[in-house]
Amino acid sequence: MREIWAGLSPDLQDALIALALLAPGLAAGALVLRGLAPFGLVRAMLRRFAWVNLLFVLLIAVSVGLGVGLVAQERGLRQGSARAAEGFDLIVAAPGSEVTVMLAAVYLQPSDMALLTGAQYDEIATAEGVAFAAPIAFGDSVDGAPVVGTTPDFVTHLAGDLAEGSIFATEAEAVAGAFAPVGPGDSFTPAHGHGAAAEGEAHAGFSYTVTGRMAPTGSPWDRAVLVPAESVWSVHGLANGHAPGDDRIGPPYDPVYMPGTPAVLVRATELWGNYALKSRFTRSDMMAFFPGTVLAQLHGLMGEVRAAMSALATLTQVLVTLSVLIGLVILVRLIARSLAVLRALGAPVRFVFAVVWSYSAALILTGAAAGLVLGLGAARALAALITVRTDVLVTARLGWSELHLVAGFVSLTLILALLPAWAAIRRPVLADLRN
Amino acid sequence: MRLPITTLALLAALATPLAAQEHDHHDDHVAEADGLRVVHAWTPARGAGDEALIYMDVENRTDAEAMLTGGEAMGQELALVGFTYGASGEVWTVLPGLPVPPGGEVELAPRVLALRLPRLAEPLVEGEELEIEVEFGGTHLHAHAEIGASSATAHSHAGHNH
Repeated sequence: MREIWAGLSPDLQDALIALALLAPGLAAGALVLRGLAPFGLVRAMLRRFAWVNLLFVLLIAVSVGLGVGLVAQERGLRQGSARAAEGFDLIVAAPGSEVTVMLAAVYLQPSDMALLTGAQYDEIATAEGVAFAAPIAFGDSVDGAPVVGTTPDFVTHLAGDLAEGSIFATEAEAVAGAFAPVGPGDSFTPAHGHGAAAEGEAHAGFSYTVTGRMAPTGSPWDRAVLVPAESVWSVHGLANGHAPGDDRIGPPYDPVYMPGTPAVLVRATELWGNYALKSRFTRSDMMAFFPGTVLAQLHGLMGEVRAAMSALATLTQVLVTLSVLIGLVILVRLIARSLAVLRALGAPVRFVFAVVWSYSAALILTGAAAGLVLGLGAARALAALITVRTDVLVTARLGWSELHLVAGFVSLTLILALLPAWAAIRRPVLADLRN
Repeated sequence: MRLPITTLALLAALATPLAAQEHDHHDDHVAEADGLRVVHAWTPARGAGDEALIYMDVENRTDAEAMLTGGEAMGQELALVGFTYGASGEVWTVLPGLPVPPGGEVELAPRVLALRLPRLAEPLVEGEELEIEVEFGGTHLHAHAEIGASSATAHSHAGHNH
């Protein structure tokens, strides 16, 4: 059995789980409605109590939407942050916190970091199996966007061919990220540092001219401005990585004239090479790590939070539905006379039971469907907000997790809806007729 | 103070197996052949039908590069797999081999590198051991992998020197 299950496609497995979750509620409905057609009366009840019904539907929709929105949003954030790190195969940096280096190098969060020396960079760049080793030198900014020193190879690796223009070829040229505050043809003087404390005049007298723009990557690099590592070193009064008189841009750098770099992105010629290089450069004077591994560990921890969020969302939904069902029990008291007339006219008890259950089911199903739409809308709005705040492209769409959540909720509440129906048929007919 | 001879004999009898047990326990954490060492092999507990990922430290104490290619356990081939993570989630990719430089080390660790047993014929029970064979080209090294808790993230003696 287990092997048959494992052999099914993930989509089929998810569809079967959704059906299994729905099955108890559907089975209850099939039993209640077997041989009966109470829909005409249900439609009449829905019309008669339109405003109350709308309120009940809204309550259910908001509670379902909250759960769906949270789950969809969490997945969107997880996938967006993972997508942003996909281009960063292996990072080598001075020993310290992998999380700090990852946040700085992949997500461009400013941080004070120790530098790898020119000799260390040279050892990495010339190691067997290294396709390219790009220094990532940060510290400057323009209009709040980071200015990052690196190599032409890194630009191509990160975003492929440029959307427009050409890659920097001199120390005074720059390439803008897809959504950077400067574009091709613009000139700017970088500020030293980031944020409110950035020193706008620190590099006065030096300016970059933007020669190209990258295609979007869905990462914080879309707001960055990439410049030659040489110019980052030069504007800070350091040697530019090459011997005097050598005006080249990009590696190889002369270890004697290379001031150092906080991080190096390494790409191996073969996939297995990344693992060999990680082992090689994990030592006392430097650390090598896969950002994907660090991120997966962080997301693994988030998984616990996700489970708690899902449980809370489900609990909220059930509590709201219980409130709605209690409301329905009260509503049944209001229509007790009509139901008693129905029974006095000869309607079987099962029919009255089916009318009340179908009425509750209509509210639950409409509320759940509206909740799905509401949740998707909320998730998309939140995703847009997070994208603006973090520059990580977060997209939210409905997935199987949300459908499972709603299927479980619908099934459980359809069973709970038996309670008001049961309360309706327990009422004394004669007393209700007199009232 | 003088101890009776019987007491001394009893203490000696008790102490000898303890020492031997400690020695054996220590050896279980290290397997060595031709200068290649596998230290602290371990795997999380898993149920029958699941895949198992086996982790370890590999040390090459020879003067030549060794190529870690995979292994064997429970009569099945162990594939060397490398971890990647992206928008589509966690993916383990089969690698053709991994060079361990002379005098160097490679760590097979969760979400980095592992030897993968595709489908367990019987469950891996916490506290027991799994016999594995680690292959370095033509060199086969027999080792015992400790079976940790299903949520374990490292060998129970990780950090101890051997």
